[in-house]
Amino acid sequence: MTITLLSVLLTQSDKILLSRLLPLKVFANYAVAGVLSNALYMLSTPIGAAFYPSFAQLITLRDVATLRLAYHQAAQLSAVVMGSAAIVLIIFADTVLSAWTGNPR
Amino acid sequence: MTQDASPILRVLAFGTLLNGFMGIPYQMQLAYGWTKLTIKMNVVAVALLVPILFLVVPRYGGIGAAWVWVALNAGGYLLFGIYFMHLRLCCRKKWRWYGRDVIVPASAALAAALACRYCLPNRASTMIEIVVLVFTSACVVIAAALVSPLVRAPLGAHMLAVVKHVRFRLGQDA
Repeated sequence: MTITLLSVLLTQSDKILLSRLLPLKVFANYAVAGVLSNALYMLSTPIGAAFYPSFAQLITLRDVATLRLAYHQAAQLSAVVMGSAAIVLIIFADTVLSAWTGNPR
Repeated sequence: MTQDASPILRVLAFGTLLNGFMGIPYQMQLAYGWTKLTIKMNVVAVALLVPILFLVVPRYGGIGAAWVWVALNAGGYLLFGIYFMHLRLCCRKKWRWYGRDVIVPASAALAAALACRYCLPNRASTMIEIVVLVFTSACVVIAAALVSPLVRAPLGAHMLAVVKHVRFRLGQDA
């Protein structure tokens, strides 16, 4: 509960502050970029959620060797799936934005 | 809008990438029932973020705020969070996490994305741009998977099983 509340504060406080500190047109650019970059969590969250029960079971069984293997496998899978999408977004930011908004470069 | 928003998107996506790397270590902390570290780090992060944004945003605008997000994740979470977590929990080899689990796949993905950026057409019609994006995404994922042994091995075994199944079905039909 506390972690969720703090995470919401952490991810939303910039938008709340920027909406007050910046002119609307400039804030709109930040908001659009924020929506697209937050979409990356749709790729990383399910991987963490899928491995969590396995981690908990292996900790209960005290099977440290398998736990280490599962941990590194999950980390690599997350880097492959979410990392790849993020890097495409970084390198092709203008292409993605132009295709998504229909706004020419 | 595309012109103005793309530099911010690049930096924000980088920050979110760094934050996303912390997803699995966070699940591990939860599985151990150890939530104090994340709570403490988030309290410090929120306490720092607001005053820093007040200082940075009026001078540097949206791009400044995006760099604050990167600095928070790189310095706070990836450096201190990972250090303290690997000190206490099962997987003490933090350099293996940084190296094999994060830097190696990310570097391969970056190399593939840069190669596609410079080799493929990038100022064409929307349809061609979408095709380029899909092709690039496939190349980037394959490159990252090939250098990640714990993803490559099960994926290879699974694909081999699919190929064998298809060949078996084709043989049956013939």
